[in-house]
Amino acid sequence: MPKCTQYNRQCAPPVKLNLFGRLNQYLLNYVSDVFEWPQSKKAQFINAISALICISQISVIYILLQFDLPKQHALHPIIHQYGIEYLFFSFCLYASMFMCGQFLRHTHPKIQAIYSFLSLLAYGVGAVIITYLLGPLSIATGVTLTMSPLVGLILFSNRLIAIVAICVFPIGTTCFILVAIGKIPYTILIESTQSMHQNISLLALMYGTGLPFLLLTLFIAYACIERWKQRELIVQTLSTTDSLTSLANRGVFLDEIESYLSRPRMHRKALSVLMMDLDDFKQINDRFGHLVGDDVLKNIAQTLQFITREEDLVARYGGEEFCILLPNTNRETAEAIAKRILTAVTETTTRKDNRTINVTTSIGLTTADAQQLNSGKVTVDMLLGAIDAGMYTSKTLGKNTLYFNPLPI
Amino acid sequence: MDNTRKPTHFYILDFANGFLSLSDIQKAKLLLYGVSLNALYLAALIFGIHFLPPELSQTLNKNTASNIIFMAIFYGFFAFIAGVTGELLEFSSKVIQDVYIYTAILMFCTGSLFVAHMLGDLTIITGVATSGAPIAGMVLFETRKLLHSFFFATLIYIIIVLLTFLGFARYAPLINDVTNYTSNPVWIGLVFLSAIPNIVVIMSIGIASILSWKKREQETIYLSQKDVLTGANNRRHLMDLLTQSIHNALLNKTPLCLMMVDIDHFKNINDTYGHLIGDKVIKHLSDLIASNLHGVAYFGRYGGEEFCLVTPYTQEEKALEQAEHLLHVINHTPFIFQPDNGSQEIQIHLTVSIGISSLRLDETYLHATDTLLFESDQAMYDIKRGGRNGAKMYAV
Repeated sequence: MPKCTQYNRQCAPPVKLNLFGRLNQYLLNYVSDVFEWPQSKKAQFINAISALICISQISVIYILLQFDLPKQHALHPIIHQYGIEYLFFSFCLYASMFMCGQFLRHTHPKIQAIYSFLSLLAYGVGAVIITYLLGPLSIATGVTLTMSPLVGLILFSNRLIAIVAICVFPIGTTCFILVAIGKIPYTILIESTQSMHQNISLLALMYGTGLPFLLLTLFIAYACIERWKQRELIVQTLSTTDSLTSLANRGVFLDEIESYLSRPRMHRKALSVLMMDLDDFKQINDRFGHLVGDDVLKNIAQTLQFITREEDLVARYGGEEFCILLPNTNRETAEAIAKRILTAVTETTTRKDNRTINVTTSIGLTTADAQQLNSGKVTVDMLLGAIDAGMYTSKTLGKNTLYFNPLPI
Repeated sequence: MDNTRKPTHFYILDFANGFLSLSDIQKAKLLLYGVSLNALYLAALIFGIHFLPPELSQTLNKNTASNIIFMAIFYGFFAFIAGVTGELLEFSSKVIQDVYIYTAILMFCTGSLFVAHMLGDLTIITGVATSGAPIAGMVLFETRKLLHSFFFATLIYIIIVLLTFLGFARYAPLINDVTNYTSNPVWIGLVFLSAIPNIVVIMSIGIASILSWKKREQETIYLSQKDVLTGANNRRHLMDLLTQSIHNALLNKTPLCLMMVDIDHFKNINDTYGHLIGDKVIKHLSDLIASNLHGVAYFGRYGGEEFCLVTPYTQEEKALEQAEHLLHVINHTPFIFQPDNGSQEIQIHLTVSIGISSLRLDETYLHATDTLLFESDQAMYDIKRGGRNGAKMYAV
C-alpha cells in the first residue's frame, strides 16, 4: 500500500515486502472480503467462530482428561462428567445454526434479520456462560466485554448490536452481582480457587481457547481500522496534493503559513517564503507540446523535493509557479537555499527525442524575522505580496536570478 | 441524509470527531494525563481500604499496600510531568515527537501491567489491556508504533505469568493469600473498580470512532446511491437492487412485480409553471410513492419523470391492487404551491400512468431484468394510448 508521510513527500515506490509483510498483505486482502458480505453471511461467520471455540474447548478438556492430574491441578468433577456433553450440545447448536444460514441466504430480509439476531444472541449467551465458568473477573471477561461490542459494531449494524447488548448485558450483570454478594461461587470450574494461577487445567483452558479467539478478533478489527485509515489517507492525499507533481497544493501552502504565524512565540523564530516562476515556460509548451511541459514540471518538482530540507514545504502555486515555505530560517540561510535552487534547476534536464531541455527560474524571496513576527503585523497576504513583487523584479533584472524583497514594515 | 433529524448519538460522534482530529502528540499528551489520573485514583482506592472494618481490610497486605501507594503517586506525578512536557513539544522535530508518543504508549502499557500484577495477572484488567486497548490504540495512533509497544508489553506479561506459575514470584502481592481471596468482597471490589475507568474510556473511544467512521461511510454510500433531487434510489442502485431481487425470486420461486410510474403531460407542467415547479412536482410524487410503500417494496427514479417500483413477494392481483391504491392517493393529493407574485395558491392535479409486469418464473436469469422493464413499459404505453390515469397489467 502506498504510504505518504506528509502532503509534500512523494509516494514511496513499492517496497519489497518480507515474509511477514507478505503474509500480512495476504491476510488483509482475505479479511477485507468479510466486510462486503451481507449481514446474514456475517452472522453465519459468527456461528462458525462459536462452533470452533466449542471444539477447541472440547479438545482441551479431552486432552486434560487423558492426564491423571493431581487434585489441585484438576478441574471440578462436574466438568469431567458433564463438561463435554454441554460443549458438544452447544457445538451442535452453533453448527446447525450455521447450516440454517446456508438455506436462508436468499429469503425474506426479515427472516435474515431474525437469523442474525439469534446468532448473535447465541454467541452472547455462550460467552456469558464461558466467562462465568472461567471466573467473572478473569481475563476472559475483559476480552469478551471489550472485544465483542467493538468487533460487533465493525461487522453489523448499530441497531442489531444495541439490541443484542440490551439482551445479554443484564444476564452478565446479574451473574456478576450474584458472585459479588456471595450467592453463587466464583467459579464452579475448579474446586479450590486459592492457587488458580498454578492450576494447569485452568490455564490450559483459558489460554488454549481464549488466545485464538483474541487473535482472530484483533485481526478483524485491525483489518477494518487499517482499511478505514487507508481510505481516509487517500481522500486526504487527493484533497491536499497536486495531481501532476504530487506536491502540496496552494491551499495547503496558505494553511501552513497561517498556522506558522499563529504558533506560540517560543516556537517561531523567523519565517522565509520563496516563490519561483520558470522562465519562458510558454515557449517550451509551444515548441515541444504540453506533454513535455508536464514532464519538465515533474522533474523540477522532484529536484525541489530533493534539495530542500525535511521541514520545508514545497507547493505548486499555479501553472509553472512553485512556492517554498522555509520555517525557522533566517535571511542568510534562505538566500543560500535559493541560490542552491537556482543552480539545481538549471542542471535539471528533461530529454525528448535526443534533445535536452533546460529551464531557468526567477526567485522572489522574503523573510519575516522574530521581531516582525512578534509585532503581530505580518499577514499571509503581506508575505505573498512581497514574494510576488520580488519574483517580478528578478524577471525584470534579467531572469535566472534571485531578489530579496524585505517586508514593508 | 435528512439534516433536520439529529441522531441520538450525535454528541458522542461530535466528541469522537474532535478527538480523532487532534494531532498525534496531543493525543499522547491526553493519554499521559489519563495514566496519571488513573494512578492517583488507584492510590486513593487502596488507601481507602485501610478505613474498612479490620476483618475486611486484613485481606490487604499492609506492607505492599503502602509501597504501592507510594509508587502509584510517584508514577502519576511522573506521567503528569511527561504530559506537561508534551505542551512544549508540539512543534518539535519528528524524531522527538515519535519518542514522546512511544513513551506515552509504553507508560500506559507498563502501568496496566503493574496494576494487573498487583491484583492478579489472570484478572479482567489484563483482558481489557489485551483486547480493547489495542483497538482504541490502533484507532488513535499509527499501527506500527502500537505493534512495537505491545510486543514489548506482551513479552513482560509472559515473563510475569511464567514466574508466578513456577512459584518464583507471588501472584497478586497486594492480597494476603491467607484466605480464599476470590470469595472476598475487597478483592472483587478492587479488581472491578480499578478496571472500570479503563473499560469506560477505551470503550467510549472505540465505539465513538467506529460509529463516526461508519457514519462517514454511510454518507458516501448514500451520495452514490440516491438521486439528488428526490432522495429516492438512483437508476444505477435501483438496477443493482432489482438484479438481486430477481435472482432471489427465481431461486426461491417467489413472485415479483415491477411497476413503471410515469406522470401524464409532465411537459405541460414544465412549460406552464417553469422547471423549478416541475422539479418540485417530481419530488412531491416521489414522497407520495415513498409513503405508500408496502413491506419490502422499494422504488427509484428511472428517468426524468418516470419512477420504477419493485414489489418482491407480491402476486399479480395484489400488485394491481397496490397500484390502484397508489393512483387513488395521487389523484386525491394535489400539489399545492404559492406563486412568487403573491396571487392565490395554485393546485396542480396530477395523474399518472402505471404499467405493471410480473416476473415469469420460467424466465432465464439473464433476460429477466430486460423483459420485466420492457413489459412494464409496454403496459404503461397502453395506458397512455387509452386515455391515461390508470394502471394495467401487461398481458401477453
